[in-house]
Amino acid sequence: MGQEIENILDDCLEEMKQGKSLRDCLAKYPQFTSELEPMLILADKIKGLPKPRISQETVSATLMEVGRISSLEKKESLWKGFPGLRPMMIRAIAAGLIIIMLGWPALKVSATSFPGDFLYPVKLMTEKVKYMLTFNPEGKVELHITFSEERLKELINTVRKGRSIDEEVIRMMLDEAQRALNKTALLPAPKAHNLLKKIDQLNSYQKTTLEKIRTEAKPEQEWLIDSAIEMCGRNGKWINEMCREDNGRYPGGHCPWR
Amino acid sequence: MEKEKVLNAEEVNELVEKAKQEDKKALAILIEYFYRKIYINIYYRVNNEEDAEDLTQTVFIKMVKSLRNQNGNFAAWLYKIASNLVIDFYRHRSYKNEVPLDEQIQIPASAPAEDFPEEALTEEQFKKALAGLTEEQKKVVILKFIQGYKNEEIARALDKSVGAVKGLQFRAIGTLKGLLKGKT
Repeated sequence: MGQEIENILDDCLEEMKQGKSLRDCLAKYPQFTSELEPMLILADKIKGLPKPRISQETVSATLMEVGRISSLEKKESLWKGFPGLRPMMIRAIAAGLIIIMLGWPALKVSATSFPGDFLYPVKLMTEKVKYMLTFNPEGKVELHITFSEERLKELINTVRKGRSIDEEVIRMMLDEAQRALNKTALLPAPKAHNLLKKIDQLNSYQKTTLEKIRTEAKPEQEWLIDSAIEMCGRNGKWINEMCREDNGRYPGGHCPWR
Repeated sequence: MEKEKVLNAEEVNELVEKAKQEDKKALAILIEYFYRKIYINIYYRVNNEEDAEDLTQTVFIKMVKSLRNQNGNFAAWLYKIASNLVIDFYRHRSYKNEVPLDEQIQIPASAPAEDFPEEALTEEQFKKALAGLTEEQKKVVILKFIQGYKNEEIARALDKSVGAVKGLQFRAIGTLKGLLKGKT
């Protein structure tokens, strides 16, 4: 009996999915009408619930984050033979030693280094310190823009030198631009205007650059670059949306610099 | 009902094997294919979209971290990660006095069929009632009625027999009927 009603409920659900009515189904199993009817009505109501929307942005963000973690995992595995010594710790010690030994000139030189260079980790660390020491929100946005521009320069340099595209640099570039945009959205009108313009111009340039780079990318890197281009496209739309929604700040409802 | 493209078990296994060999394209296809399924599964079990997005992302991060050690049914393994994360999520939230959905509702012992009302069901009511089901019942209800999968596909995703899926479906609808009595 238990299994019979389970099968009958399933048959009715299948038939209703194919277009039969509730009444038709109940007529086939009159002895189970009282039990089946509310269950079938409920199943139908559940099917009728609005479906949650999933933005492609969240999927892309997950793809990027998983890619980042995956790269980190790979790097971490290289250090398994040296228990206690993690790459971050090594970098911190190395950076400390370099600063002590070489002082300010080394920091200055590191500013022009590129991924793969000996002083590149020092450059990233210097950026982090600079960010931590900046307290006003506009200053932080400016720094995100600067760091994103810097990653773009590094990316272009890598391609020019004919080196393999560094996925981590693309991720860092987009992360910084995204953070700049998120923080700008929270700023009051006059302060936000110039920053939004800068981000928009940077975003367009990054998109164009990525589109050019894609033609030279390895097949396994195409998905990452496609996701990155897509993200730039969405950021562009979002900026447009911000201008349109804020008619007071941007008369005419569009970004005046566009 | 919107129904996504279904990869067969061999296709999924092939992608998983490639992803284990650090094939990023295969990994990206797997994530894009399973993202919606996992997101929806989590969405109906937490209170808001942000939590669902965060947890879904965590599922895939955990996936990539332990993919090398994965054996057997990949989809079932992924759903298991999602379920454990939702359980952990509520465990941590309980420290902050946030009440899980299943504690926000009273579960009646039974509900006569004739009392079931005709009004529309809201998402909130459904989510609260869903919290009164077992983990496996929740998965079956979401996969079948929200995502529109066939019993065979659900059985494969949950590593169960079709008969077991029908049983879970029957008990889940019966319990939901009782939980939603007089609420819709």
